[in-house]
Order: sequence, then structure tokens, then C-alpha cells
Amino acid sequence: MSVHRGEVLVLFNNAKQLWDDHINVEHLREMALHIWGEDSRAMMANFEPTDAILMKYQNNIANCERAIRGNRVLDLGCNNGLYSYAAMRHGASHVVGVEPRGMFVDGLNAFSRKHNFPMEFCREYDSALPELLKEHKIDTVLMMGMDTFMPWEERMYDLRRSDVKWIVLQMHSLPKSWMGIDKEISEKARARFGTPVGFSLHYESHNVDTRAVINPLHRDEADPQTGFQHISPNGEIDLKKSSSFRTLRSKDYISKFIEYAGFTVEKALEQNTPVTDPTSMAATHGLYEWFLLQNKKG
Amino acid sequence: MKFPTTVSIVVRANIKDSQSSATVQLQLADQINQHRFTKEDQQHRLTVTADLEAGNHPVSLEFLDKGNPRAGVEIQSMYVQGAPVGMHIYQCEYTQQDSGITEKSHLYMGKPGTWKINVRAPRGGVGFV
Repeated sequence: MSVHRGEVLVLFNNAKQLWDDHINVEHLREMALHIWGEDSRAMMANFEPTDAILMKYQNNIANCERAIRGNRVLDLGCNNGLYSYAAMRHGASHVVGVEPRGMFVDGLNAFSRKHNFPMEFCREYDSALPELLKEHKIDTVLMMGMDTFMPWEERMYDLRRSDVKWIVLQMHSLPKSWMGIDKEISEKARARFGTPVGFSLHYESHNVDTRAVINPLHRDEADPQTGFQHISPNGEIDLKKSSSFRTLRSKDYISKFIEYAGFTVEKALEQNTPVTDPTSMAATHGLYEWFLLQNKKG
Repeated sequence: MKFPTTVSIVVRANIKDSQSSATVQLQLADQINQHRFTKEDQQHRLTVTADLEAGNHPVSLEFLDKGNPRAGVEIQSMYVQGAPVGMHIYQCEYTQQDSGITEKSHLYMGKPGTWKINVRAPRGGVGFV
């Protein structure tokens, strides 16, 4: 088995139509109010999905409806719950959002309860995945852009061992051949360990923003609402505890790992050009890969 | 393109006697919000919303009350679009009105003066992204 990739064609017109058919912007405004409070009103007054949102929506939700409709879905690292909500609107029978930051979990649960939606949100880390899958009898797992924040390989093995049927993956990735591997090192590697199949890039980061990494060694001391780890309980700044590593993997490595772990690749797409996002601090959203995997047994 | 941007700052008063008060004024672009503290340890959230062009914009919190040495104010936290800014709050400077001395990364204003910080419009990573 090998992973075949096609290039993603971001059909924004189609995605926008699907978005308009499924997503109730009044619900989004309410979600925002539950999460960010009154300060979100101005931001959400004329809310329109950006191209980056539509691209993620299309590739993770709309194009994966066969893995979502009628299924129990777990959204690992659900952040503000936008795609958990989108999964529900695309027919998920039940959605469990998993997120360590209370500011999201509390607000989203209040929103969901108000509408009696089949959604619930748990304040948990990725390490709780095996128990959560069993407890909630999950059929489908969404893992959108979580690969840089957590031990991705461990979670993929958790999924492979589980009864989950589908995995929707959005991965950050590095080019296949970003740098040449020294011939001598490559030959030694082959002789001793096997064929090199890719590389990873690690970079140091700090959990000082709402989207930053969470240091697994100091989770117990993180602010339960924001997840910040740079302020200690006595109010002092503690940069050491907020420091962590983020990891990017190469396309070849990701493909090989998926193959090695034994998943069946139903779909593999990669973004061919960056998407400009005027509402983001970054000029463009990075290049993603999307996989729809089946977890067939036997 | 303009981005509606809401900034909130939570301020706590340090008032040393019952005769004193502390007045603060938050400003973003042409939007202003003012509050007067009259009791020790009072806390108040000041909020302003302005339509901003893309780029950096100064937020200022002015501690007024010139000639009142018996009070101070402390910036407790800051939010942009309702999301806490985290470490970014320390990218600030406080200039005392009388001495003109400017100190970076100070969250306590013991004397009248102006506390300034920049916010970027749009604020990346906040809201639905």
C-alpha cells in the first residue's frame, strides 16, 4: 500500500455555498459570545469565513462527510469548536470536542446545552485519547493541525489500536526534499538502521499566546482557563515552564508512517499554494496535507 | 480594509486613604473609556472598540489625577477581541508625567502618567480561524 496524493483544488465558490447551506452565522455569533464574551460582538458583527476557513472546512468536513454523517465524532484539540460545530451540522450523531483550555470548553458546553445540540466538550489533553474513544464510543476522529503540538505518532498508534473507523487528518508538512542528506550519513543509516524516509524539524516555542504549545511536563501548573504556562501560581513569570518544542515532519515521513501503522488511505490531498488570510497575523496560512484514513482491522 | 477591534484592560486601584481617588482613561484610535476608582482594591474592566486599518496601533491607559500621590493603579490583564494577550502584555512602557521617565514592561503606575502598548489589527489567532 502506498499513499497517493493529488493536489487540492480549493473550490471556494463551492465551499462557500456548502458553508452557507450548513453553517448558521447566528450560531457562530452566539458561540463567540459564550467563549470570548461581549468583546467578540464587534469582531463577529459582519463575520464572513475567510478563504483559509473555507479551505479547512472543505477539506476536513465537507469532503469527509461520509466519515462524519451518522457517526460519533471526536475533535481532538477542538480549539474554539468551529469545526466540531461544522461536523455536527454535517450530520454527526454526536460530537465530543477535546480541548485543555477551559475558556473554550466552558463556553462551548454552555452554547451546546442552550441549543440541546448533540455536542459536548471535555477539558482533557491528547494523552486521554484512548479512554475518551472508549468512553464515547467514537467512530471518527478529527485531528486538525494537532501534529505540531502533541506526540503525533503516539496518538496515531492509539487510534490504530482502537475501534475508531475513520480518521480525518490535517497535517503541517515539510517538502519531500528540503535538504539533501549527506551521502555518507545516508549509507551508514542504511547499513545500521534502514532507509531514511524523511526528516523532522523541531523548533523552540513558548506557550505565551492562546494558540501556542502546551508543555507536557507542566500541564498541571497551566492556567486552567487560558492554558498559559508562563505565569506561575504566585504571579511570577516562568518562561522555562512555558518553553516547549514543536515539530514539523516531512511529507515522505508522514506518508511512510501512515503506511507503516497500517491505515488505509481513502484520500490524500495537499495544498498547492498558500492561502492569503487578511484576518490573520500571518500573511498566508501554511501548506497543509489532508488525509482521510480508514482503520480497517485484519 | 478595516478591522473592528475590541480591547479590554482590567485595572486594579491602589488607594492609600479614603480621601483619594484614581481616574484612568483607556484610548484606542479615537475611542475613549474612563473610570474613576474610589476604593482600595477596586477592580474595573475598561473596554474600547475601534475600526482599525491593518497594522500596529497604540493603546494607551492614562492615569490622570495629577497632584494625588496617595493612589496608584495596576494593570491586571489585557484582552483583544475577548482573548487574553498573555506575555504580550509586557511589551509595554509606562511614562511618568512629571519626571518624563519611561520604564518598559511595568504594569504598575504609582504616579500619574501613561501606559502604552501596541495592538495589531487584525489580531492573529483570535476568533474563528
